Amino acid sequence: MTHARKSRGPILTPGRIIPLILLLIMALIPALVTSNYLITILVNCMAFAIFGLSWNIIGGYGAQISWCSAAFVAIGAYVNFILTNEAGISPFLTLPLGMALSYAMATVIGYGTFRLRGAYFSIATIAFAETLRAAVQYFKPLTKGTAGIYLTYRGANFWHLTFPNDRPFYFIMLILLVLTLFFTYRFTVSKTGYYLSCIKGDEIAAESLGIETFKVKLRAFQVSAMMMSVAGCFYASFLTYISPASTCSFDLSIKIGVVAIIGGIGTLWGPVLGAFIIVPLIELAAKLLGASGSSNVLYGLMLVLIVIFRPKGVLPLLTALYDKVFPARDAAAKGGRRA
Amino acid sequence: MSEKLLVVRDLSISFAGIKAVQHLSFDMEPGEIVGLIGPNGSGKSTTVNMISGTYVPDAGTIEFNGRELTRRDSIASRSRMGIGRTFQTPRPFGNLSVRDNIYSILLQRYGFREAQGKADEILELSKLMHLADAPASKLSIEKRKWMDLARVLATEPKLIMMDEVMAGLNPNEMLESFEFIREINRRGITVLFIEHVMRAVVSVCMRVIVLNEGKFLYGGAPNDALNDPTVVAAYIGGGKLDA
Ligand SMILES: Nc1ncnc2c1ncn2[C@@H]1O[C@H](COP(=O)(O)OP(=O)(O)OP(=O)(O)O)[C@@H](O)[C@H]1O
Ligand SMILES: [Mg+2]
Repeated sequence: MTHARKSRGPILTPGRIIPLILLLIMALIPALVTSNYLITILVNCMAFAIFGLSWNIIGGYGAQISWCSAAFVAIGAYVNFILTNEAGISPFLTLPLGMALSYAMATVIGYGTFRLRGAYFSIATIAFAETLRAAVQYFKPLTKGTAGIYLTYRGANFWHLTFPNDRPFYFIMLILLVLTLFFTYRFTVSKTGYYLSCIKGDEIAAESLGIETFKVKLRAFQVSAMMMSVAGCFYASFLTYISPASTCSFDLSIKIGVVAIIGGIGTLWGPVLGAFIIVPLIELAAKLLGASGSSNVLYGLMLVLIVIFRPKGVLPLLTALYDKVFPARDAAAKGGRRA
Repeated sequence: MSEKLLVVRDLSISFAGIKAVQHLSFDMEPGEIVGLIGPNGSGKSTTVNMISGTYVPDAGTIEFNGRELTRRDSIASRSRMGIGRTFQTPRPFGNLSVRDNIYSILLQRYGFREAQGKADEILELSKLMHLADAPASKLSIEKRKWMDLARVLATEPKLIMMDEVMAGLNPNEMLESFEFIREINRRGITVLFIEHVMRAVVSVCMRVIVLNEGKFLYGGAPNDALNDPTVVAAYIGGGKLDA
């Protein structure tokens, strides 16, 4: 399938109807489900889908593996809580600041590493995330250090994103997820998106054909970082309590990468699928095995299995099934031109 | 004649003591097809890599289109100036279809709609239309070289340096490729043609430059090169001379 030539087919193809049906089901779930626990898990799934999608912009489509997702999540989260608690500013207004800070940080990291090829970028992201975590722990007057920050509860208040239960967040996350999917799709068919897939394909060739690989990678990383901090801002309000351990840990960065990798790296639906597999599994494992460290063991194990048996993730299984059921060439549903 | 397109003067580079290219000088007129030949390891690809900006020469100058290139002219900016090249080992974007390999590069110059038309033109011209929607990773090595060449057209270059684009072609495909290269040239693109298959060189090139052990050995008409004793000696000593 190619986007270079778009055939004008019917508007309602299976590839478009299936996401709409999924969306409808997702929208109806809160009305049908009484368990708040299930709602909370689903909100978590959606949040990690958004994190995974954000990671995918640079890690999947650009093949530049980042391990500092948590740092951008933390920037969005801490800017939100600090300004909301100290100054009563709405999270919606803290968003731009979180995005600007993440953009600036991504620029600094990218500037130093994207001129070099290979693992420099990945290593720098780890160093950056650890530095930021240390800084968050150190600047106690602002961040409360390892103790973390509780969000001041303001009753049911949309403007401040505080609610008595998680149901409103269910819809907020759902809307954010749809927007993120839409934005990601637009990104992949933008010029930057095309250049990025060239870089993923062969960076040396891309450069020899005029593509400013440094600028393109930097742009993708900036976009990814800003998306991540937006998600982090909302996620924090949903959690109502943030600490370096929960929002700024290496653990979280890995989990976000694993979600995208297991679902299907560099695909539109992969991170969504990955999140809806991993988040419940980890929840289940924590229930069954008890120990809080069990989740690490679990996704470590899953990653090993995926890398050995399904390096393209789980999504290809579904797209193969889709191709069987709908043999028409509506490849748009496969979420991208990368066959 | 008119202004030179490419002026190479006294170009030298060594790698860990190996003098890959030494004091190489040559010119190219706009519209020429010049063969760059020589035994294996004589420095042909290295010369291409210095002109394209991949390698920084130890000494010497490269002037393109009337302007001296410096190390600050990046590989990408040289491409935008009009310096195109293919790779001896082809480098397709394996994650994209053949069409998108070309289309993505066209997007640098054109809007989405216009780039579609241009991509079709290049696919037509390079006779790759029947493979347009195949993933580039599925192409045979010969077709990959072919697509590399088609793709570099998308940068609308003034010069294309073709590094052994014909290796592995059967006689029929070879004839087709001669026509393709002549067609590229008819469109005003200057060609630096690296090839071991002498039949191709004689058929396509207006003149040849022979390298041996990194040094300029001979410059002149292709047929004369084959009869030149020093050229023959270099090939017998250093490598193959395919008929
Ligand atoms: N990056 C490099 N590092 C070390 N040595 C190199 C490098 N590139 C080229 N060389 C050496 O420079 C010399 C010239 O190599 P080059 O690839 O230019 O030859 P060539 O004429 O293209 O040969 P062939 O016909 O085999 O492609 C060889 O001895 C090669 O080993
Ligand atoms: Mg060579």
